[in-house]
Amino acid sequence: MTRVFDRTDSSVVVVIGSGAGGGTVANELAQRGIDVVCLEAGKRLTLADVVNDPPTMDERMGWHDERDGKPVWLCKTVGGTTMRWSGVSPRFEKHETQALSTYDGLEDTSLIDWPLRFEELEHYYDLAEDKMGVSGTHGTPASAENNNYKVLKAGAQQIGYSRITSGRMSINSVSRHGRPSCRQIGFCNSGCAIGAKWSTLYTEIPAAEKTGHFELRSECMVLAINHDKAGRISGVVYRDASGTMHEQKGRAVCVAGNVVETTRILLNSATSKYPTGLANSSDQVGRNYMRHMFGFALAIMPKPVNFHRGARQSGLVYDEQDHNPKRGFAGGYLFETLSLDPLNVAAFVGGWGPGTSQYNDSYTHLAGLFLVGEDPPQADNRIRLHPDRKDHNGLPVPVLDYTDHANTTAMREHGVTRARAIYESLGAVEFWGGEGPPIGCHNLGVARMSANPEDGVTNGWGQTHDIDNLFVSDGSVIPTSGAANPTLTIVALAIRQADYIAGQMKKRNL
Amino acid sequence: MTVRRKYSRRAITKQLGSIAGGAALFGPAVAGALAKTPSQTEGPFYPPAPLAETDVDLTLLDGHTERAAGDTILVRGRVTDLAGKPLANARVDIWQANHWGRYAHPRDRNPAPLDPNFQGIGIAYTDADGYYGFRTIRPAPYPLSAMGDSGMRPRHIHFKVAHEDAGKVTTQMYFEGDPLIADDVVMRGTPQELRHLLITSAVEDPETGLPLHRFDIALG
Repeated sequence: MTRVFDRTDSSVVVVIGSGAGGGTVANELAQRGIDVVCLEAGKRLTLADVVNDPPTMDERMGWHDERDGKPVWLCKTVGGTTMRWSGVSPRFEKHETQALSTYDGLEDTSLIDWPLRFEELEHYYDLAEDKMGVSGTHGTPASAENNNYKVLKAGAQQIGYSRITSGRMSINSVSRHGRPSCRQIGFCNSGCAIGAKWSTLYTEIPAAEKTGHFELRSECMVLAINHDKAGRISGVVYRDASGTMHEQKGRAVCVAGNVVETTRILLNSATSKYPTGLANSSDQVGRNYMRHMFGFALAIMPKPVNFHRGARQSGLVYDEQDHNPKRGFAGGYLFETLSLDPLNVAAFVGGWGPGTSQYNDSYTHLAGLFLVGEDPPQADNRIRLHPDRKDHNGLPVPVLDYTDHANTTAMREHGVTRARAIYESLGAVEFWGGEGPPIGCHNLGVARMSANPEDGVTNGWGQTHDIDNLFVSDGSVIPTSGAANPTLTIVALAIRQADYIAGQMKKRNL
Repeated sequence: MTVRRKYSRRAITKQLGSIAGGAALFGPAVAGALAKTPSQTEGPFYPPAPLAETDVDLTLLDGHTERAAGDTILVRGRVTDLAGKPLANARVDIWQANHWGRYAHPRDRNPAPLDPNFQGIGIAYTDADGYYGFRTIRPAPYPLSAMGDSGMRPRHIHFKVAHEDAGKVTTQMYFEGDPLIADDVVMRGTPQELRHLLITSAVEDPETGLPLHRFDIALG
């Protein structure tokens, strides 16, 4: 049923990227009878290609193109980062979508309120949770409680927390929609070998192909987006696996390359008509780049935990998500269970010597968690193109400028202190907590939604303020980070965008 | 890339320049008033000096065992004046992008591979009957975004033709059926009724079985 569209067919919607945003918006458009060509830079793996070995899978699906600046944990594969993610799927809280109003007065930030009604977003959260099989929603049970979760839950209760769940994971807790339930194999970040964790590779993409309105072109790296004389988008330039460049014509384009590539594509498409890049009259493309406040904690417990057994992340504590300025920072954060392999234990605890060896000698007794929290947008935290340096593809190297806001540092300190209290309440023998090595995997901002065109790049539907048939469909549109892992929200916004695009086409506005 | 059989350079040159071959395939040149070949921009990518190799086989460099990547084609034609009189000893320069749409030119910022086995330029002089001929590869289209413009260039080969008495023309040769021609920013500058003069179709060359594109030039 897979369609093959002509490259000169200008009636198709071209979607760039096949991950959480691109894979979802492409399938949702195809389900509505709209023809879609999806261009994906990476290869199309099958579940048989998934092995439980992180370095091998990083080689198969990691994005290794050159960067200047902090690392970014992205994927070049069909399914994008939905292949690598852990599956944690909390919602944003309403106050987090009204960050300017709620955190008013936070200095050195570029906070804005989201240009949409939270009640409308909640409707799309329902649809996204159903699609992704989020555990503990739509009648599904919470995820199985592994030992690392049981330790977190017991410690959190000891120090007075109560909003604790092993649910909200996009990993089937029961077999559903033709996919099995979690077998507690672990290695979730290597891709899920049985397909229990939601990834667009084996959900959205094949579902779209069944409609007969969808063509996936893998190993097609997008170089630039073209426009006509009037300035409307006319097509997308890409290079296929053989190295040959092509243009796919289209009536509209959805960019979902994850923040680094989305920025690069928009900026690299500069022309005499749009000298600073596409959709960039506000000079906001690439700015307000957010990565979440990240913090990590490891504890050596008195008895074995074996935290490597079972899903890598399987539960969270919501009690610190509220906005409570008395703690000395704006916004909130989540505690989430996290297991690390021995290599990463060494990387987090750091260096050589007794500390590191003690942690790995005690590997069976380790418990661990991950802190994820609000990262206020700053205009100078940004992705830009290097003026001279080109990567092996001949594309300008993306430069990532990012520094933590003082709010982030204060929040991390608070979170580490509370994590220590959680584990010490259960008699932890040793505790390590801190920032850990930089891992940029919650990449947000750079093309944010804004009510005022001067403050952002797109309107509330991800439609760029400057060009009506150019959309951004990934985490780039998220205006403020909240504390929630972003994938669920990216999927909810992509479904909502598909509704909007279909509506605009019906009205012949697109 | 596979190593291909090496052809005799002399044999190719002879075959490409063959008067008999051209006449047999296309018939004799029509005498009488001809439309002047329309000129088009030279563009920014004429290879910079010094030119290493400029012979009529662009698919094989001296000392290389591998040929250029892509589909090999022959390009052959006759240079005449507007009355159809063949012009001998006219200089014909061609240059073009490679199989992936990249010119071997420092100003080409397109992110496509260079082909170390592709000559990129060839220079021929017409024989006594006005014929020239090249062996090359079919170039790929490429985007203009790296040049700060939008759109794709269709497949094309640049030509610069000069004759001592009849004058000169700089133009581009295109490939019939290329869907990008209709929207092309360069072709738009050529009057609709003259565009067909720059678009070539291929016949099978009986000697080699390769696609042979006939591109005649009328100077005046």
